[in-house]
Amino acid sequence: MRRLAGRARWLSVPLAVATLAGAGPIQAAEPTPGGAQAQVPVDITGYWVAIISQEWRLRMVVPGKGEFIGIPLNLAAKQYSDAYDAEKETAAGNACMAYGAPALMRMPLRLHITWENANTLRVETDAGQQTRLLRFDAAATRGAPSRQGDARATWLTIAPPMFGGGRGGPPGGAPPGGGAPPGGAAPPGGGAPPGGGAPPGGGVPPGAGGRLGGGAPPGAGGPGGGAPPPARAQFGTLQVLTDNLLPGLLRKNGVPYSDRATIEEYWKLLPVDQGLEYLSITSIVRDPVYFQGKTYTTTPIFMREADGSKWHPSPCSLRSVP
Amino acid sequence: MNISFINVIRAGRWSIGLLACVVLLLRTPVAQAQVDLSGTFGNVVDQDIQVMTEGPNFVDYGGIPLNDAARATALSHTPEVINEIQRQCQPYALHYLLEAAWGFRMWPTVSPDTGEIIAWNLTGSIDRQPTTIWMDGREPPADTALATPAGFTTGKWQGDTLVTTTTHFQDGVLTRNGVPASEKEVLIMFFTRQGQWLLITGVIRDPVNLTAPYVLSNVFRFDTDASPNAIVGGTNPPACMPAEEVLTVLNGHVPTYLTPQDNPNLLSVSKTYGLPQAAVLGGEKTMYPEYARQLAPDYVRPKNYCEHDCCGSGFANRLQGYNRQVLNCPTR
Repeated sequence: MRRLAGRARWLSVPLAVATLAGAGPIQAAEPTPGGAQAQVPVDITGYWVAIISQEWRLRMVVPGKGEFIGIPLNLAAKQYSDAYDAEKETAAGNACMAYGAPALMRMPLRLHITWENANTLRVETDAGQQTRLLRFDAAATRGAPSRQGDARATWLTIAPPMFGGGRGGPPGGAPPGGGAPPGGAAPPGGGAPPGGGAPPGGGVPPGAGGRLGGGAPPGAGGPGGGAPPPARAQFGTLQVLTDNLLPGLLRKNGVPYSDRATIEEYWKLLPVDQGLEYLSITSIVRDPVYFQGKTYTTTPIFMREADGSKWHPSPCSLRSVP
Repeated sequence: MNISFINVIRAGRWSIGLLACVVLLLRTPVAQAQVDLSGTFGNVVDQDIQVMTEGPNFVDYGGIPLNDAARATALSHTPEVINEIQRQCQPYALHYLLEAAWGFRMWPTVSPDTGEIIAWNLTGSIDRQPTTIWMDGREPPADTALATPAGFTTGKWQGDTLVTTTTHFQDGVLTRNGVPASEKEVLIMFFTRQGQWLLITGVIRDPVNLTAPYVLSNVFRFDTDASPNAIVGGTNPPACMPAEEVLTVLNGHVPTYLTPQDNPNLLSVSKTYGLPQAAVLGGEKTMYPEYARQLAPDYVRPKNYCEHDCCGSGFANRLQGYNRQVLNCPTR
């Protein structure tokens, strides 16, 4: 027995190290020379087609006036929708008001994702011909409010073993995404905002610190700062926090969102097999003006296409889909 | 034994330990990293709320890549089936996790010797069996092994995502409006936890009934207050207890429609929503954006079709802080 105990002492060292190495914490990718493009854990660039297998009718044709099912609207939103007139908005040059970031990814359309520069992913749509810019540079200048708003992106990755794993808590202790919503606005009704409060295990996760572009600024490092750049992870989730939006429509039948709406998104590459890949984009929309203390949560799915041969640009329309 | 010899032995042990460290580090892949999925997760029930709560309309297959044979089977389906006493408590297959409003609890089975997680477990619900996701690298059983609605599931980590594969399903339904699912179904699911959110996407392949993968997603929220099988803030339903309650299915009557024309719901969705019948009958082409362009020129939305239960967040009036009543919506 004593012999076993003696051996266990020296075996415990590698076992402990291996345990730590095999279960690296989820962390936000550190800014590095070469920008986000150089550290991308998974490649989501290319052409993607929306797979419309859920909420088919609501997405494939314009639903009728008053059809709010699934959206936690308040009375102000209903009143807006009751007064909404697609023809009037189209005549006023607002045909793209249903193509803002809170609604765009849910439409039947195709995406073309490219790198605009080393720190910006460019996401174009054929329907509505919109462009979202997902900026990895937290210091990027904020523009005027727009249909696509300001979108700050962060790769959330599992730290490779023993390299660059110095931030964040233990696995499961502080997973990303549990911070306060972007903008930090409390929802109507008070209390902890949906998505706010400490996540299970407590602590503010890296990259979700309750502000856009959360996470340590370049050079700050935090515990473990000054260490060599983290090794490139093999898997990851892209977190995108968007605000600074113009008001718009969640549905073309007049369901509104306000200029105080924010979006918390998780873009996830889902490799299946035989070259089949999906991209899921979970979108958590908050709106203190038109929602009743609740989020609106959806996950549109896209399938990778080999090329842009089916790309079909079309202008914005409030009268029909897409 | 003198002291210097003991030191040599100790040094040797540490060297072996260090060597073991290096070997283990070299063979520990990133993909082994794990995220704690333990907890009770309430169903957010925003997306596809009608399907998840009252269920899909009958004869409404838009967006489902079903083949002709599956469509014929679906058209013979009648809701009376569920009134048969032997089918009342028949569970749906595991993919129902992505089509129903229930939440669930998830917990690990841990090896008492090593502390290693050898399985993740999901509670069932009134109409779905519990599921075990085997993480210990075991192979699926032989094709002739027992098939169940829950199937047999293995899992592996891809970074922050648990990827599961389920086989050995019983024949059943893909959707509650009668689109069939065969024993050849393979379900791949991706579980990603982001803080309080648990995101699950399922890819369903069924060479018997589908011409393309059928992809579903659902979002759950970590909720310590939720009952494990309940919608957020709701309560657990009672266990399913079969009982004879509808006379029409007694006396040997088999509830089915022999031909599509016998199905009284054949045209109900297309008439209600002004959709072409071909769109309602679904198929792979209806999943893609170009089908919306095909529909658009001729689509005329009927007036006043949305007369009840189309307003607000449906079941969400049971969720935190939400009150649909303030919208003054007409209900059934």
